[in-house]
This record gives sequence, structure tokens and C-alpha cells, in this order.
Amino acid sequence: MYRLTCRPMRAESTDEELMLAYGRGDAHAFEALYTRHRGTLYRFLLRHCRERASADELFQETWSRVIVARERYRPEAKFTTWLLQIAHNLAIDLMRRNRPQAGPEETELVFRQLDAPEAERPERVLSEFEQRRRLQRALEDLPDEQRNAFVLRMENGLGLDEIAEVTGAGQETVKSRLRYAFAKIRARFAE
Amino acid sequence: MTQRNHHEREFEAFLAGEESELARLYRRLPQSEPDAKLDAAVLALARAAVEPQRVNALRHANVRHRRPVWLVALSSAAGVVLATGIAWQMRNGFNESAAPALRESASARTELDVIPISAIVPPAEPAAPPAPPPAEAPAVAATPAAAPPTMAAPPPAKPMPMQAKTAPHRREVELAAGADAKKDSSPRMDEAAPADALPPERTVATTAQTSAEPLAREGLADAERSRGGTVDKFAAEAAQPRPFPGAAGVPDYNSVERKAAIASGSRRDDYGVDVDAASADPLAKQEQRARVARSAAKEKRPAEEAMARAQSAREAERQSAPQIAAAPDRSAIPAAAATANAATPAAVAPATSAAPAAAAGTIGNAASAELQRNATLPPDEWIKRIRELLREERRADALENLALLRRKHPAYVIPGDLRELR
Repeated sequence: MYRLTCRPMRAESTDEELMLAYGRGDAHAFEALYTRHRGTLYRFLLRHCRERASADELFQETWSRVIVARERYRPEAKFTTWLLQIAHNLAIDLMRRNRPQAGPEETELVFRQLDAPEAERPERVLSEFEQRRRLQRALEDLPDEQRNAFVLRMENGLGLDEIAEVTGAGQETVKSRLRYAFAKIRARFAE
Repeated sequence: MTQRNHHEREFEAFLAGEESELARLYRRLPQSEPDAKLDAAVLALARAAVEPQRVNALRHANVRHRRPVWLVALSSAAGVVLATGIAWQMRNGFNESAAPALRESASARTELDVIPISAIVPPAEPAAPPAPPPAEAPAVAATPAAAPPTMAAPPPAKPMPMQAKTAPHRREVELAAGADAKKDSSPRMDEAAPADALPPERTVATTAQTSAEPLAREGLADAERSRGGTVDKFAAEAAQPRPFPGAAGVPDYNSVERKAAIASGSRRDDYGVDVDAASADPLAKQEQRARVARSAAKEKRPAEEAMARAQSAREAERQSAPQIAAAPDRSAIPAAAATANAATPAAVAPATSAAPAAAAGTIGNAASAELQRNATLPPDEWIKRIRELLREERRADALENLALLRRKHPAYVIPGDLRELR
């Protein structure tokens, strides 16, 4: 796992300040920024693309876009929203290129590749594993728009307005997508 | 219904980010992260992107290290300029602090200028009778001795009706002129200054010499031109102003030219204002009247004296009225003046000479008008008129007429009986 040695002052700086510093040529600012968002971005892309290779490709492409656009960045936009917007657009483009979507086998493969945390007790291991498996299956079965909205909410902690900004949809649309995704996941757990 | 409400509450908690079983379960999903290879690739890309920028920044930083060398010099120069500016401002402020005393004296003088103006409203003018024809010899004989050496004038005797009509309006003009005097302290308005304090060209003597004589000649030339007479010779003569013989530098207020100019109304007043122009412009006329009034006030002449002079002038005019009526060709000119026909300077004079006469003094306006009328006559008629004056024992007037005749018609051969007249 990559470890970054960030200066203490970097930890206090906001994403926007770090991005502006990187736009002025401060590579350490980018390291701090990358450390903060590498995991969430990667998971967002992995949930979106369902395969690691595509996620890796999109992950690197997303950061490349950020690097290229460093001097054009303006702090009016929240960095997280801007970053996920870039990733979302790239993922949409990739999905349009790769249709039809990957089948359940590939989904199962991706799920197996994910790291499974260790559980404390053996009897709960199966239960926890089953629950995570059901959740993973439920996410896989969701339509793309609903899944994206759900992941952005759960993984990245975005609000309705931020999800709407990232996905380019209205807030009511996002809320409706979240409502449907939430209901379907609850139904899957109720089985 | 209860199940639905429960789901709705869970959804609202989900939107609000509250802790829930679903959120807990989601966090237990595999926390996938990019591998180290991917991290290294991204970070290498990021560093490579900013490397030229960093090099440039280093170069820029080196330049910055040298900057203070010239920056110190620049700041020093700026400091010197700033100090100079402050010193300059302080000096100006000191000069301004010394100025109030001057301003106070100036304002006091302005007030002195204003007070007589408000008191000048002449009460005697409305009582003046209608303008008679120009006075004849008695007025001329009476005035030279009483004429003051300066051009400051008592109220005119002739244009009384016009002044009576316009007295209220002129009072307003005088008040306005007083207000102007408060605001404007230009030397043109500063009439109370002594003559030696004025520039030489603004003294009364110089003005009378330099402006009245050429304008008098111009007035005569206009008279000749309007009568269709021999204009060319006289106009050429009048076009070149000549110094008055025997009076270089000394104003001759009893000169023939000056009287003719006063009568014709084409002279300039004491303030250099062309009377003809002032009469053409109503505003200029009002301003000129106001100036005359101020001048009279500064001379502190009592109104009674002015009234007395006006009365004497009227009496002289009454005495000379029958003579004028006896001469049919001469009475035609005042008639033309009554109809406001400005064909001849003599005709213009009664209508426009209110202010100039007031400024000129009391030296026989009527006699001057007669002299002017005679100047418009042909030489032979003029000679006859001079002989009539001699018969009437008005020798002074005859001499004036003869002198003017000689000037106006230098080629004319004076008869023997008048050639030796002195």
C-alpha cells in the first residue's frame, strides 16, 4: 500500500488550497490531495465499472485530467465534486463504449477480488459474508444511475445537490433514484 | 401503512447520513484501493507535469534574490519623491494660511465697493423732464469752467425720460453689479483704485486721448458717408489716428474732437467700453449704466449737484430751442433722432448718449451736438454758421467750429475774414 509522508500543514489545508498549490507547481500538495481521495475515487470507479482493469484505467485517467487541468482549476467548485464529476463522465463514456454490460460472472469475479475483512467470530463470518454478498449483489443489480447515486451517497458522503452536480441530473431526480435504490436493497435483504 | 412509514423514516435517515444498519454493512464491504503501481504512475505523472514549472519557479526565485538590490534604490527614490511632495504641500499650506489676511482686506474693499452702489439709486432721475433738443451755446459757455478735470460724470441732462422709464430696471442692474463686485475683484471692477495704481493705459487721460480722438474721427467719417458726401478723403484721414497737436500725453477734455465724439455717441467711456456697442447690446448697456452709477457714487457727488447741473442744462436747452427751430435743415437731424434713425452720428447721439454723456461730464453736450451738426454741413454752409455764431457773440463756439472745419476739410480755403480769427 502506498504511503505518503505529508507535512502537518498539508493535513490542515483544504482540498481547494492543495489543488491551487499544485497548480502553482507544488508537487507535495498533489501528494496530499491524492492521499485523501485515492481510495474513495477508486471504489467509486470500481463500483461503477465492476472490473478492476477498467477501474484502474479510469482512475489513472481521472487523475491525469486533474493534473492537466491544474492551472485552470478555480476554487469556486468543491474539489471532491469536481474530481468525481470527471470520474463519472469518464465512466459513462467507458460504459457507452463497452456495452453490453458485463455479465454476472465478471461481477462475481470482481467481488472475489475484493478484499474481505476478517471477522471476529466464525459463526458471524458466514453471516457477515452473506450480508455483504447480498449487498454486493443488490448493488450490481441496480440500474447504473441508481447505483451511481447510491455509491456517491454511501461511499463519498455527497448530498443531494452534490450528487446532482456530479451526475448532471436534478436534485429531485437524484432523490428518486436514491429512493428506488434504497428500496431495492432493502427488499434484497428482506428475502 | 406502518411498514411504509418505517421505510420512509429509514430513507430520510439515509439521506441525512444517520447511522443505520445499511451504512454499517456498506462500510464493511471490501475497501478496495489502487495498487502501488498505479499510485506511483499517477504521482510520477503529477511530478512530471509540474517539473518545468518548478524549474521556472527556481529561476524566478533566483531573480527575486537579486531584486532587493534595485528595489532598495527604487524605494529610496520613491521616498525622496514622497518627502518632496509633502514638503511642497506644506509650503502651499503655509502660503494659504497667510492668505486670509489678504482675503479679509479684499472682502472689506469689496464691501466698500458695494455700499455706495446700493446708495446710488438716483432719486432725481424720475423727476427729469423729457429730453429737449441739444443745448446751444449758453450751455457750452457755462460748462467749460465748471468741468472737472476727470471724466467722472454727473448724471446726464439729456436722456432723462429714458432713464426715468428704466430707473427701476437700472436699480436692479446696479444691485446685480454690486453682487458681481463682491464675487469679482478684477481690476476692471476696481474703480476705487487711485489713478497711479492703475496701468498707464487704463488711466482716464490715456483713455480720453487714445480712444476718443480716433473714434470721433470715425464718427465724422460715418456722418460724411451717410450723407453721400466726400467720404474717401476724410475716411483716409480718419483711418490713421494722429496725436492731438500740442497735447501729447495730456488729455484735453475741452478739445473739439472730444466734444464731437461725445455728441456723436461714438466715443469710449472711461472704462474702455464702446458706447455704440453698449447701446447695441442691452446687457452691455445695463452694465455700462451700472458702472456709471458706481463711478458717480465713488466720486461721492451729491445728487443735488447733479440735479442742479441737469437743471442748468435744461434751461440752456430751452433758450437754444428757438434758434434750432429757425434753422430748418438742422432741425431735421434731431427729428431723425426722434425716429430712432441712426443714419448720422448726430441722430444716434440723442438716443444712445445717455451713458456716455453721464461719463463725459457736463461740458456742453448741447453745444457739442450743435458742433457735430455743423460738422455734417458742407464747408460753405459751415462757414455761414460760423459767421452766425460770431454775430451771436459766441466766439468760442465759432473758434471750435472753425478749428474742426480746418481739420475736417484741410483743403478748403478759409475765407479771409475768418482766416485770422483767433
